[in-house]
Amino acid sequence: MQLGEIIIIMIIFFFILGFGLVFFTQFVANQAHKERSTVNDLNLAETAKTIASLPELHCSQGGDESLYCIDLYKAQAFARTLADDPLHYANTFTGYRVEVRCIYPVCTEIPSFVLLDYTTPTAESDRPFVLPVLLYNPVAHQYAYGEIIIWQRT
Amino acid sequence: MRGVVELPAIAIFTIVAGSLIIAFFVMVSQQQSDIGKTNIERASLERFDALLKSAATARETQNNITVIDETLLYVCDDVSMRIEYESHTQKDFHNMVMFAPHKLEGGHLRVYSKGVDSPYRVTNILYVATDTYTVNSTVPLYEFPSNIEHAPAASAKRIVRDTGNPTRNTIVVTESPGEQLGTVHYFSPTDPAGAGIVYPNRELYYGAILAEDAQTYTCGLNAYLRQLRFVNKIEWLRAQQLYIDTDDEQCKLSYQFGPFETIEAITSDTSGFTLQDARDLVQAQREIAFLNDKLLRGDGCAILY
Repeated sequence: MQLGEIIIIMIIFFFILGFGLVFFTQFVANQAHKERSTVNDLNLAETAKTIASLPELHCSQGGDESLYCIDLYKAQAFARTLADDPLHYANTFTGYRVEVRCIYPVCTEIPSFVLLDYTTPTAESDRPFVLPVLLYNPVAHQYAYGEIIIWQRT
Repeated sequence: MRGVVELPAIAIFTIVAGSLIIAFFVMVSQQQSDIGKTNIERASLERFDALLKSAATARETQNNITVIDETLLYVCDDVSMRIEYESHTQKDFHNMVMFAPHKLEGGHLRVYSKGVDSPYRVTNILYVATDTYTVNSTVPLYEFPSNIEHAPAASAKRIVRDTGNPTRNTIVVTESPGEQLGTVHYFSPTDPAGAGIVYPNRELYYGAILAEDAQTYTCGLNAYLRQLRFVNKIEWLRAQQLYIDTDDEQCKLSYQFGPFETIEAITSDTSGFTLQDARDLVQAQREIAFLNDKLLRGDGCAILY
């Protein structure tokens, strides 16, 4: 009878221990998930900042640059150059896809296009980070409101 | 007899349960300790990484950072440009053009950035130095980071870097009169003759001073030339598109591609960057600047940069 009680106590003890372990593992996993989500958001914001500050894209006037203004001719040349030499920014933008999109007012002559894409087609997509910018057409001397949309896919 | 049986069972239970609890807590604390150590290393490097990235996006900055009291190693080779933390945690800065001594002793580090216009902006070069870095020079260091001490050295055009071994750390800079380009010689026990390496502008000249040896400087120079080639290709394609899309014949005359082709040819040649290449580069850059000035004066022409 005493041995039976001990066995029951041991079963209860191991049950509580197991429950504790499962609870602790879940807690750690949740924390890791939250941390990962925060890190992803920070990475997206940081990548947006890096993209917006690339001298290869900025509107400029004799070398003086305008922040948050993208020269469309430069951006399109950037996309073509990167297609020829994808390794150049592979290290910086691995896992990212960046699109330039015109919003307002006249967007018929300003197409949306992919600036860079270092993601794999099967990769899972997170919500994108959107950065508002000015888009400048140097031939027509026209500005438009646009967006840089950044996806991180891992 | 019955008591003899009961006592060992309780004792065994207590020992097993106690051992399990102790093992569990030891395991968790060990794990947390490892995680904590890795987190400190990672946080330190992340902070450094963030600072470098932030500096790289601004034209001219000066920042101080305190990293935990360990040694960071700056490595630049054919594979990558990276900062290693005690050789097991590392950060790759492949696309940055950065100059630093090999060893960045923990404590205070100074990070500077400077934009390079050639004549369009190519990149922001990063300079990383330790708090106690001293440069003695007779060459005027007009724009050299002011927080780095510099004082006149004994002989003309000779820069002595106060980082320990004077034989290993002595460089001599030869400047072409009236030009912001020249040759830098690094004297070391393995290269007592100090083979000359070219610097094509002021920014690279400062990089040459901060680089530990000829190999590290060449690595930084190559990174700069790679970036210049990339940006030049974009500006070249842009000029071609402007030529196609512009109706104005006067504007079209200024969209010339020769200087872009020259820069492409120089930066594509990986056999070695010579003084003549540096001069041709400067000449091509001047031509682009001249064309841009003409376009700026033109009526409504889209400018080159």
